[in-house]
Amino acid sequence: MEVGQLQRSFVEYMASLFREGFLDAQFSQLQQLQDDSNPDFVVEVVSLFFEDSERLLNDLTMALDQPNVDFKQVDAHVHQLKGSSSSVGAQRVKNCCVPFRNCCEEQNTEACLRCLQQIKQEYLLVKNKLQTLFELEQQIVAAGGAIPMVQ
Amino acid sequence: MLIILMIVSLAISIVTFVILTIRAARREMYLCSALIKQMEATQQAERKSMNKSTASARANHDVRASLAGISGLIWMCRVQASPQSELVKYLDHMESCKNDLLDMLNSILDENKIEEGKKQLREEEFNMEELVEHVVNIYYPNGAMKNVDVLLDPCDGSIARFSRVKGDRIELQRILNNLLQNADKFTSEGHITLRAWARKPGFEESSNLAPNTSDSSIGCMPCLRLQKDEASAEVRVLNRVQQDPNCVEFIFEVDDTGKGIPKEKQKSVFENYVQVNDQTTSVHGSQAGTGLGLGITQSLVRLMGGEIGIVDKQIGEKGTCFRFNIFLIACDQPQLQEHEAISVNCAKEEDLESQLGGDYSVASDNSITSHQKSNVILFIKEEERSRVLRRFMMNVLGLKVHVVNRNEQFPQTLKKVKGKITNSSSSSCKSKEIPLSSLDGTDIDISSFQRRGRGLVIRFILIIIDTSDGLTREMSRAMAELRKDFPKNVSLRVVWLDKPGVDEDKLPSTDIVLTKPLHGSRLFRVLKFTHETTSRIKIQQHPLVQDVFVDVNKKLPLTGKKILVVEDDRMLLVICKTAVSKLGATVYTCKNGQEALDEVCKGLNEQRDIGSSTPSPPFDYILMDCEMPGMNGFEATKCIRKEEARYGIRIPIIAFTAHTEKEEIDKIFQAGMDYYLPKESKGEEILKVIDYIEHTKVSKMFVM
Repeated sequence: MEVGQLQRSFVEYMASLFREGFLDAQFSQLQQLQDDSNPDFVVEVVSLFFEDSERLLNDLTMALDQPNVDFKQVDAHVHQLKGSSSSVGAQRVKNCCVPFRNCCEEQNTEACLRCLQQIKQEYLLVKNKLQTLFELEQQIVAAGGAIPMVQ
Repeated sequence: MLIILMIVSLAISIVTFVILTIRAARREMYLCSALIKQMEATQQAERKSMNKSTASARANHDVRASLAGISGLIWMCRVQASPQSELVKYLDHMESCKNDLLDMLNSILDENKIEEGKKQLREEEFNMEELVEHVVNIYYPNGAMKNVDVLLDPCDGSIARFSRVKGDRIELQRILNNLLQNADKFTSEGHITLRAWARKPGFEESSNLAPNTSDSSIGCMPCLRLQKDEASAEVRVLNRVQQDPNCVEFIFEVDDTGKGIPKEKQKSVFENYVQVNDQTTSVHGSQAGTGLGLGITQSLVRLMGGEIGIVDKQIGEKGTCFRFNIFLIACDQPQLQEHEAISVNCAKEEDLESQLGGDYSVASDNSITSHQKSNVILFIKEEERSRVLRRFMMNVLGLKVHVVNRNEQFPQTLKKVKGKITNSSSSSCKSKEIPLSSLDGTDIDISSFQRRGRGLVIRFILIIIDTSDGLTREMSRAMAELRKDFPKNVSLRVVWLDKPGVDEDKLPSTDIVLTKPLHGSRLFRVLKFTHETTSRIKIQQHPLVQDVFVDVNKKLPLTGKKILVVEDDRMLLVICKTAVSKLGATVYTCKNGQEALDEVCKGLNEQRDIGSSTPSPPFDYILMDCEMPGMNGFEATKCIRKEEARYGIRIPIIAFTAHTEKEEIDKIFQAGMDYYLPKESKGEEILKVIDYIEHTKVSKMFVM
């Protein structure tokens, strides 16, 4: 595909991610921290986010699977997930964390499981989107173009 | 008989005399009393007016004092508010409302002053070129955000000739500001152009004199100056400036592609307090103007001897075009000054030779055929800017301009131009070629450049590329092709707008990289140094023009500072480390409280070993996460404070926290930390907090 076309798709895609609320201003700030001396910064941070989140989601699944659920533990995990998704700008994931914490306070296992399900879905969605975005970036670079700066 | 007649006539005359005297006396008494009444009334009116002035001065003072109070309180609230909260957004909004109030206050006061005829115009020397560029650059970023291009049209280049002038810079800037601000407010797409040109006023003073706003019965006859001292200040200034032989008329146009002003409202926009269209202001929120701007603008323009009006646009063009003229006194133009690039007098038809003030000229008379002209390849995204540049370069400078509109056209245009010059250079044996090396370091001598027929033809190819959307592979290839086997007698200059297509180090030394916008001084520099063969110019910052050039040694806010970041989460650590490094500081990292404590102790011990009497802290700031496994942020801080006390040092510690409840904040300060930030904070917020800490340190010093 021609570079100009790729760049346009990239810009369009990025804009749609912001528009649909998958990403927020924190992600833009991350992009601004990336420069020529640090060209893989965003990819690095997002990879760490994926690792941390998957670990936390696993921990959450296990914790909620126990006969006697330790809600304090669950709450701590959700709190951490909220923090990291907020730092990276994964808005929809972050927004799922708030009702989740409320369920923990109420000590309602059923509700917590539902929240967990929702968070997993949102996480997979945003992971997919970000991976697509990075692939587009790689295609542009391979075709010899520069990655457009989106404001 | 006769005697009786005489006596009677005498009596009659006496009586008449007496009656007349009485009448006269009565009239006099009447007039006197009327006069006294009038005088009293005048005095009362004057007193009233004085009282009004004092009252408005006092009101002005009081209102300003209150606004200052509000400003200070907003600052204090901001300091106490947590940086990411809604509260800060509200405070920002409050601040902008306060600024609007201040502006309105100033407008009202100034309008009063002008109406009373008390406004005095200052007279100071300033640079007109810099002023217009400065004003346009103020509105450029705003426009760029909305996709509206704000550009400066050099027209015939005459501003460069009359750049040093004497007049009231601040008021002129205010006029331009007002017009540009209006254009900016009402334009959401397209472009806003500021055009400026100058000319020596002809002997049509009657048309140039502004209609007198005061009811002076003198009229506008210039010869009746200074007869009446009560003549309004306007008339006096008007005549004085225009009498000066160095008087120059400057004409400005602010043209936009916005909403436009309907014909019937065009007259009334200049009347104060009339806002044309209320619906648009909702787009910009608090930018609902009071409509005072154009009224004052008109008064100021008239004070400067000119007139302002709305120019009709062509059918189908939307938007508004304001035009006004003023008269200023030109100062002597020193010859061949460094920053005056181009001046061409287009009135002359035989040849376009450079006039005084220019150290650059273009030979463009009939003897030079088109293939010998210098070529410019222009690839700029913004349509109107491209048009303006093309017109300027073709008509005023006589260059041949090729405009590229799309990426695809670029390679073929390059090929075409290269083809042309290679052909012409091989066939032109008439022109004597002077090796470019001999021109090193010298300013172009005008006379040598004018030897057209016999000799020196410096030709160049100038390529201006806008790379904000990236450079395609075809384009890079085309550039490489062009550079290969480039004819020696033609100089090639490439100007990259925004970013170089490839690594800056790989560019040949004659290329330059400029940030947008390309107009004014930057444009002239580009055109000027196409004649210089010196290596890539480190573009110095002109003192008055506050543009940002590509400068390798840009000073970053935290350069030279040592910052320790303590954070257990890998992702957050990477983010924080990068954010702080980007601000210029040297970053050290630790994963938990114990490590941080060890680092600080080590640093302090080293100081002791060196034996310095006043130990300097091992770090300038510490950014500490509150929740960490093992020793958390609070404990670490407490231990660090204990250690520090032994050396009499206190390193500012900023807490990273995910909680903003009061208990958490209290814990933070109790542990000995200096301030706090939310965990996701990046560059801006960190800087703000560091600023605040520095502020309080300094003020504490003064208190002591």
